[in-house]
Amino acid sequence: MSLRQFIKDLGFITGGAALLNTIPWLESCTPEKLKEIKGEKARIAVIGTGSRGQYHIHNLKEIPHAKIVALCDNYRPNLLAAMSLCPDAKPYDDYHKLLENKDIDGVIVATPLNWHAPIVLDALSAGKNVFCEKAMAHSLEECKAIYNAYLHTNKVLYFCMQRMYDEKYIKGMQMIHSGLIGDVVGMRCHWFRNADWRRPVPSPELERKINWRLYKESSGGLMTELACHQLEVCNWAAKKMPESMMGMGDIVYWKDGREVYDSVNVTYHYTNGVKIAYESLISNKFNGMEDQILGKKGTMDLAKGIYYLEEDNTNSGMRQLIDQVKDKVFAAIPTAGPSWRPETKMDYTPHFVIESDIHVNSGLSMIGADKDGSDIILSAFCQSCITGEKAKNVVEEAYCSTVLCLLGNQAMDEQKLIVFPEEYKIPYMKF
Amino acid sequence: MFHGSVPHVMGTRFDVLIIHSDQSLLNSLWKRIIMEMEMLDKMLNRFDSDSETSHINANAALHPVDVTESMWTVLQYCSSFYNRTMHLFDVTLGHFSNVELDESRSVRFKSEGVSLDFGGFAKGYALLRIQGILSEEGISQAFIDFGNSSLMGIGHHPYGDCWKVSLVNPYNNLVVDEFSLKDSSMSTSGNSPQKTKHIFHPINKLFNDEKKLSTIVADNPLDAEILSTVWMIADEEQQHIISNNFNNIQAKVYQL
Repeated sequence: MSLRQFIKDLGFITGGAALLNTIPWLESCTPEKLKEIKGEKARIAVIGTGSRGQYHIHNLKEIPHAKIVALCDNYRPNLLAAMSLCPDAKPYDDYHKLLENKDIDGVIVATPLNWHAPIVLDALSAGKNVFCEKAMAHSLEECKAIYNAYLHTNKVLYFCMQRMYDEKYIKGMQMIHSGLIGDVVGMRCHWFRNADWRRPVPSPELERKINWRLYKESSGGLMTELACHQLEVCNWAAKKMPESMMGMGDIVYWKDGREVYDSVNVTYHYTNGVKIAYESLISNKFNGMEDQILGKKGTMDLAKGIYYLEEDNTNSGMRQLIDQVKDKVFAAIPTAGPSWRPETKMDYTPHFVIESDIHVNSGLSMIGADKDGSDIILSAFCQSCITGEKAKNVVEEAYCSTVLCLLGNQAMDEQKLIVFPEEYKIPYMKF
Repeated sequence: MFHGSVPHVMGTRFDVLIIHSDQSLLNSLWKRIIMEMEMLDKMLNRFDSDSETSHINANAALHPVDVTESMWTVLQYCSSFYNRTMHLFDVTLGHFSNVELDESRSVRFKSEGVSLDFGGFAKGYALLRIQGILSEEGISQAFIDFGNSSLMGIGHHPYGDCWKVSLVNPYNNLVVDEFSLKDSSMSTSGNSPQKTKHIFHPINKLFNDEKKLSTIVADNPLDAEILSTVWMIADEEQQHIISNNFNNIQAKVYQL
């Protein structure tokens, strides 16, 4: 796992320990901590074994300190699919019954959004450690209820904020916080896809169950499904929370009876004037997915793990010549032609956040990308199930970004400027 | 080394790389270069209604217009090139015979409809002036890229024996040829996807729309500039005759 290697490497570089201090949720991922639990296995149950649940099952099977002991889904085909992946696990179709099982240390919740809060709260009450998919919950009230339960429980609670465990993001953030791209002046996040987001439905009465993402009773639409991660990244970069938001949402193309928007534009405003321009559209995929932080001195594309410096904007021939002279290389520069070719974005030299192989998450998958941090955070959770060590900041970050998504939806629904409501502020937030 | 860049001057982008160790010399040198370019731009820009060129264009048909010493030098060059290129280089695009230059340093247009257009001249002239400035200041190694079409290599690359450039086909971005510049300049003219028909033949009054490039390498950057557009419109016989009127030039035409 490259993140473990990254953390291991931190031990050898100056400032490594200091860096680890700025990312406290990684403390449990150090090689020393892993040694402590050698040989033990956390007994894990998965509640909600649809596509995302099965994705977690695949990752869990790779984790040496985890064992899948139970599965639960009230949609039989999904349960059967999971059972074929884990033949030794006990199957349930009612999560209450599963929670009565004393031989479970931790549960993974990968159900539709409106089930997150009920199951998380019940699981914590039942004395289980909980790892829940993002977003935190379907409503502001539910988020607050989970946060309050978290403050009072001694069990471990994680939300799947995988970018916090993604090496590209961790290093990229460290570069941003050290001033590499100068003062942060703006942020642009988008997630474009070209698909209807629908799953095939064997019979009409299953429509709202299987296509839960499309209906307001079970889904927060593009904001909770996609924006959640990206807003968390922006707050991570800004080190604060937006104080107001406004936006517009529409169903532009997929007019198929769905209730959630297929096109959202929300602007989030920080007190210093910096804004997040958030866009998501699922009828055109040209722009893909990106979390772009704009600084006075440079720009960082966190999803690609590439940054560009403003001072690099020379014409490509001259830029190549300068690089060559710096590298003591003598070669022809491809600059002669009948007329000037104007600057394009391509003329900035790309610099890589991670020197080695870049694995880019195009954002096209509905389920998740390989090596995007999901495996790491899951592993950290399983480790916590054994050690009882809580993850620092994960719940707070999940709360912050989820609440921003829900407020973004509110702004779009009500067509007005929303100021962050006092009753949903928590001490962790800085404005 | 020093990299100076002007994003927009004379309609395009200017970059220079100077190899020298004296930073304060380089800084003052750069100021000189910028001043020179701004002066030339101001003088030669026909789109600027305050320029000397615009003033001449507005008045020379009505009465003789006194010109500055700098403009006089420019007009002398233009006249010389008009004669040495069989009239294919013509800053009035076909009416230079109607331009009368008087020893008292004035210019008059003998008829209506005459207008000066220094498009195929200005960058080459700027490079000539800059060549002089660099030489005065003792710079022996520098590379200038003026809008990709006008290049000048002074001395050689710090790690090679010349400055090497490749010529890129604007239609497919593939390299067409490679050139070695050592105390020489290279100018490229031609059509491109953005400008398919912009080079005017002053005698047959047609715009050239051929998909081709012409490249001139010469010791004198102004010669290179003038001749690269001439080569787009001259036929082989004309090219042969014109070559004899210039020293140290190499010309090539590429059919794309």
